[in-house]
Amino acid sequence: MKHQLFLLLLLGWHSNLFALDRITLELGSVTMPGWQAENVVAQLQWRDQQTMALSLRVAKLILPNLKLPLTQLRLECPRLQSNPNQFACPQAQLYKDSEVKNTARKISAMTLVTLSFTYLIKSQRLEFRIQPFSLAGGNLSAQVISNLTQWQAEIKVNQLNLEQLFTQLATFIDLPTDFTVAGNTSLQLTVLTTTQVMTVNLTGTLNRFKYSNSAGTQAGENLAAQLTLQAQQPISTNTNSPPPPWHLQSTLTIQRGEIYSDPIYVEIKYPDPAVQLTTELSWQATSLDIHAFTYTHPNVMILKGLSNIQLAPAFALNQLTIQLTDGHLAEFYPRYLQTWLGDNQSISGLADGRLEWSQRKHYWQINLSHANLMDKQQRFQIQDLNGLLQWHNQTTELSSHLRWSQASLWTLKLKPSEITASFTGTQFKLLKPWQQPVLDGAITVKQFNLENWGQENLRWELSGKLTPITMQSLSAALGGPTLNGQLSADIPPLIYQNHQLSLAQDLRLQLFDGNVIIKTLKLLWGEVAELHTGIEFDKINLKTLTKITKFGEIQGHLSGYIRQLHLINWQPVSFDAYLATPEDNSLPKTISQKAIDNLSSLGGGGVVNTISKSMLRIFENFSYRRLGWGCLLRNGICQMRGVEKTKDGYYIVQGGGLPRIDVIGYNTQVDWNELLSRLKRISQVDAPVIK
Amino acid sequence: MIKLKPNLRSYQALILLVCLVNACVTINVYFPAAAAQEAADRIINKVYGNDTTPPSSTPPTAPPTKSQINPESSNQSTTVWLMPIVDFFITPAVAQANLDISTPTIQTLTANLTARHQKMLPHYNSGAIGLTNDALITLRDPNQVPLKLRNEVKSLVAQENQDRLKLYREIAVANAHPEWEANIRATFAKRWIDRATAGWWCQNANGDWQPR
Repeated sequence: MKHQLFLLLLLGWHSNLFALDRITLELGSVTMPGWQAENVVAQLQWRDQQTMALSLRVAKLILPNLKLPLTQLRLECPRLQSNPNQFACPQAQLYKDSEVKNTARKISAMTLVTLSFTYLIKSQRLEFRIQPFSLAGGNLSAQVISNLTQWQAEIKVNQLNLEQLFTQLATFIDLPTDFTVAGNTSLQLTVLTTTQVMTVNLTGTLNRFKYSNSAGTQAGENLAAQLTLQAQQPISTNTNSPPPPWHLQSTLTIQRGEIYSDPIYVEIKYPDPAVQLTTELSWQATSLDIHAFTYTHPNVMILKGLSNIQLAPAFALNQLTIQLTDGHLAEFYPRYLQTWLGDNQSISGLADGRLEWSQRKHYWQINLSHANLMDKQQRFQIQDLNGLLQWHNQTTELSSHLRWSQASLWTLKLKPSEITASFTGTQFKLLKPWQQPVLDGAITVKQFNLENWGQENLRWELSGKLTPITMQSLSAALGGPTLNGQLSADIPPLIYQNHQLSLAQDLRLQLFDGNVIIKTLKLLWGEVAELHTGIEFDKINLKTLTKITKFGEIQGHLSGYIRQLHLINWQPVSFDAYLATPEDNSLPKTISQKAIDNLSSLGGGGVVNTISKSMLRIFENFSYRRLGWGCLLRNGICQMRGVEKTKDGYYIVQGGGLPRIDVIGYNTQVDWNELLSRLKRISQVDAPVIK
Repeated sequence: MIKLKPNLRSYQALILLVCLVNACVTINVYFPAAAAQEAADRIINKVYGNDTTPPSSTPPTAPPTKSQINPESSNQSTTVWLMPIVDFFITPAVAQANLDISTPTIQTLTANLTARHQKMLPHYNSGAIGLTNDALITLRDPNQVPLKLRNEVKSLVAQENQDRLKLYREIAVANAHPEWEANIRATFAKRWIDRATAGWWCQNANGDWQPR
């Protein structure tokens, strides 16, 4: 085709030799590599010796990448200038003809583009320009300049609406359906090709830019950004070898907008400083080699890294290295992690980190410096956290070390401590016992192993010791009434597996001057917490215990049990409880009138005999021989019992000495909820005291 | 010579004995479809916050009033008159009225679904979340969810599906028939969609999406 057209022009140049005024060349079908044209008709008409009118019609132009052929194209150059040095068309127009029905004029012409070209014969330089034309809400112009050794193309796009553009393009080409873009763009693209190298320069801006894949995992909205890109590809003369790689350098500056890359969400708001991504990479059909990238979010963090990605025959991340510096946690967490990890915590301090990822090796580390972590509901906080946290998928010898100067759990203040552990794969292990000083004592975790982190079959095991904490300091810290005695315990192996927490041995606590033994604890950690356990009490000092409640003072020892305790959602479903004065009680046994009154309320009222009631008005405290109360809870009903049966009921308090007072329960069965509400009244409100 | 003359009663007793010994009796315990639908509706009412009487899309299958007996004996005519006798001794196994949905676990799961539903409601309405034909939900059109909320909605959908699966299993277990889990799930699958608000996106039996 090129040669035929050239022949046509040559004929035009020499037409005066043949005294022709018009030449029409009907070329029929023309097939060239990359395209095919049908019904091609070229016509030259002489206006004077150096000026012709060129008309070129193509009924159908078939390009392999287009779904539909371009039809009824017509190029008109009314003043084609020709002389021995050049051909030039200062203004030509490309039309798209279409038939119009029911009108006298049967052909309507739509101007597609206005163009011009100049061809210098001696130097074989071609200059081709397309004047700005409307496209997708904006406009586009282009120019191509070529000579024997190089060619250069320049395209300028102004305020192009990408959504409209892709809608129009979709008529002709198959666009990816799993990715959508929208917004406006203005850009300038320059392509320069020499015999050695092809160079591409691109500068552009994006406004109200929006993109998304169909899965919604990669998306951006309302983006305003600037892009500069330089790319080079050496020209290969060997057609048998794969094309040489492209070398790219780019800078993307995002002034504002939202970006979501599952699960990370970030919003850049004006007038915050812009975020910048610079990249240097090599790309070819089978691989992408990112030599260096830098992501800078001013006042938030800087990420630097490199990567190697296999693109074909299958996608594979061969290597990725990312270095985090200047991570300001107070800014980083809310901007990047909050929508993923929740907004229950606030965090501050500095962090540096590193991620190394290859086919076999996965590793990350974080260095924390003066970090503070605080639960917004004030359940816990940790201050001045420093150290190195690292994880490897295989190596077990890497140790993580964290230390903090202060922490708190609810109202309980915790002193400085440090922990040394290892993270490997899905395992976490304490490398040495961790001691956390608490008030005037300490909790020591001697051993803690966790397996299958993040998996359904999560398992961990813990054992440790609670070195004595005085109840005085504990009660002061928790804000309750002042208590005496101390709290200490050996924590036997506590095992969590199959969503169940269980004690391998009995847990012994020293509490209220006595011993509390928790036996056979099993806690099902499901949707509904379900606890099975049994508790034995041995010589609890009632004076110490009753001092912290408004129950009324009782002196003496108390022993007993709560067996077969079954809680669902921390509500008792069944148990068998009995607490009474032990045989070997060694303390004075007295009970205050307030306690007697409350015990009588517990039994449903009317349980203190008439004589005793009158005594109540006279004395503050009474001696007792023994006291006790039991409850067998089944199906919401508590079957009560005392220390000894009477004719019609049971003794809750069996008096001793003078004046003698007995508290006798007559109700053997009581609704559990009713009993609870009685206990609540007793513990919260001062019950009336009979005087 | 002693001549034995069997009387009619002797024959009947003999036949009865032979049938009882030889016939292997199978008692089929049927899944109580009507009770399951009623239980599903009660839970869905709470979750959707809709206390109106549920529309019944199909008349529930009435449970058989008698145990289904499939004698393996070929003597059909003999066993027909034996059925009332066997029924007399064997209590019909399908005479069940309700499914128990009052256990703490089911109550807790229902409360979870109810609380979560209010958070997800705008996303049902926008079409972002759709009801699948297997009694779960899915984020069918994430692009309807603002980017800032996308993690939260994804998390809600994942939690909802976990709870729904637990719920179906718990109802089956609570009623001492773990093997009913699939039937219960199928019942819920239909009722979640039947009770959905007009405009919500639901998956039909072929897996195609369409607004309710």
